[in-house]
Amino acid sequence: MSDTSPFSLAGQDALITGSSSGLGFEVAQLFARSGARVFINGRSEDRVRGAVEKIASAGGIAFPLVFDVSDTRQMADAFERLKNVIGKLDILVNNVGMRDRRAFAEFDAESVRRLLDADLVAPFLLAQKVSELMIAHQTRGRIVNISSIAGLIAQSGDAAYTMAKSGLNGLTRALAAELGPKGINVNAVAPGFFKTDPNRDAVADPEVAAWLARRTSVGRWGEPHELAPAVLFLASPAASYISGQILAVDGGYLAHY
Amino acid sequence: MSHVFPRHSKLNPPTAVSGEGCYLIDASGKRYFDSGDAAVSCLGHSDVEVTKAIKAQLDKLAFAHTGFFTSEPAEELADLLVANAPEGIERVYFVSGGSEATEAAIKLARQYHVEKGEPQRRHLIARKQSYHGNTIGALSAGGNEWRRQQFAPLLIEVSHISPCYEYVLRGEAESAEAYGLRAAQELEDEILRLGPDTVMAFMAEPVVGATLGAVPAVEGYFKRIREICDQYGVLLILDEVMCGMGRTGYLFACEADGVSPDILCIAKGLGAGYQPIGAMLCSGEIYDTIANGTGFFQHGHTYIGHPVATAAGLAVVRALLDRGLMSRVTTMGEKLRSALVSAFGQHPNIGDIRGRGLFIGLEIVANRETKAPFDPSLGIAGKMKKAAFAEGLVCYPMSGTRDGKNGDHVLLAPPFIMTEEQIPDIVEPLRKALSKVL
Repeated sequence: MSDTSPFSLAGQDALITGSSSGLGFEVAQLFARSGARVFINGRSEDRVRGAVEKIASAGGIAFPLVFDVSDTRQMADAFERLKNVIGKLDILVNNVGMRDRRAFAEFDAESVRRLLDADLVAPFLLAQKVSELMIAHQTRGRIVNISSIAGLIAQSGDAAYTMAKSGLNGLTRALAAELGPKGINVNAVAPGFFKTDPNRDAVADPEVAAWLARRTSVGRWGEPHELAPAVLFLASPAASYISGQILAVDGGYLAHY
Repeated sequence: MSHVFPRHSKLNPPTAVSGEGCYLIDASGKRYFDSGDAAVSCLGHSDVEVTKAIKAQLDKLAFAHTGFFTSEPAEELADLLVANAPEGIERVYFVSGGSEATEAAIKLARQYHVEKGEPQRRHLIARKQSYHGNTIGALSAGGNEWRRQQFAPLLIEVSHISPCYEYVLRGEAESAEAYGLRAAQELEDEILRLGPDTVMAFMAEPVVGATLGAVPAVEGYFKRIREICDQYGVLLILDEVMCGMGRTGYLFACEADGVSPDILCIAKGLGAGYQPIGAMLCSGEIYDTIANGTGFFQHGHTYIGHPVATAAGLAVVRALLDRGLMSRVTTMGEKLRSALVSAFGQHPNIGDIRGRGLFIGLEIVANRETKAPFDPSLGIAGKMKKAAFAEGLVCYPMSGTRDGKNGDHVLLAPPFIMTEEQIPDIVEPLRKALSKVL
């Protein structure tokens, strides 16, 4: 992609949480291909190293940033390191998401708090740190939260996650309002049903495939590489006048009945 | 009037005022793509992490003489280098540049044999058309006639065997493997000629840089060299000052050749231009021999193990390892090389495009078929350097490729952070320079 393309991230620096594998890695890979320097985050040093290596060997530029988003101390240290490595940041993608499927009655306080820490408090705190840096450098910044269709609709047995993602959508709008005047656009994407590792059992189940064939407009599972372009769009100059939006990337699931 | 004693009194170089990624910017605002004046700037010119590490070290401790102290960054950098070094390498002796590293290597080789009880081992064998530095010992080891000529009366006695230079020296009917063995045989012949128990070391660059233009050895050459060294108790010194530290896609270039040296010299990319630093690494066997003997390597400079220089080296090596840059060098090297092949592969005056990783040489010839070089009086390399520079490209053309007098090449060693989009910043100025000069 040339520097003049409205989808180019040339010269931009991006942090994508939870990007050592899965959809986060897809986003990091596409960002790097589009010219951004990317920080790869994860909890496992080996996996982060592996992802950095893959991006670098494809000609991208990547830096490792190992930390647990739920650990405030680790996050602060990592952020210091980020500032030491490049000093600025143009894009934050809050991608880490934890899911805990169980019946409403079976939740205990600790596991609800743990989930909210990862899915809601962490994006809140990271956005706070990143926006401070963006404002200090007068960066035309972008924050993209990876939400879920579960932030817009609901199903049984998924209460904590649904609550967190609804909250993340609210945070997206709140930050869009508050940070917009400071030059930062905040949006979210809401993935539907993707062929990711955590979904492997469902992916293998022909009944789920048949159900998706009926329930989605495009009639199938989302491939892992089909989410990242939406994130790229929202992070790119092309989306300069879009803020506070939740973009569903769900093959038409929400629009279809 | 300037009071700087410049490289060349006839040149009036622009003043470099800033650096930005792969580019250097002069006082008039002109930008130059830095494709490796001397294979130094592997991280580009504005690496925040490295400059912050240097500033932090300066705020803490600028200097403490190694006659009294060691320092945290020197210890950490030595640990990191040894952890990633070829098998058997256990100690690191920090110096301030490449010439100091090779000079120290020659002295260490000699002292090792003396302490081991073989004081008759005094001969050094190196290769023609190699460059090991400009101080007297290093220059003696180097086999580049042009560089040696006027200082010849001052130089120490060193034997020079042929380089492993496939493009020119492999016979037409000869396989690469057979050629490699034939080239390596020259070492054994020279050891036998000098007297096997009088030779202390053999010194070579795994990929010959400045003087041959990025020439790697053929497969099997260095394995055979290692065998010969082992057979006769001769130390193998590999000079990776230019080709080491990721330049070829390996942190240590000899990994590609599948050999471990006894002594290894690095510099350039180790400091990446942020600080002047080099290092001589040696095997546990060599270190232990000295440690269990006099305990004192009779060498040393004021600035060895300099805390700020080693802090820079530590940040650079961490960056090379953490950012997956060796893999990147391999990929970008292939892309750059294929762009060069499509631009100049059929050029009537480009005889060979070779190298490893982001260390690439183009050999300029008068005739592609006969491989005949241009008349040296034409000064092709010098003109190429000037023309490319005028087009905004810093590269390293050199003459004397064949024998110190004849032959020309252009050496390219761009930053590891260069992107695919920047390939034209190298290819186009080269194309224009070639058409202007030839």
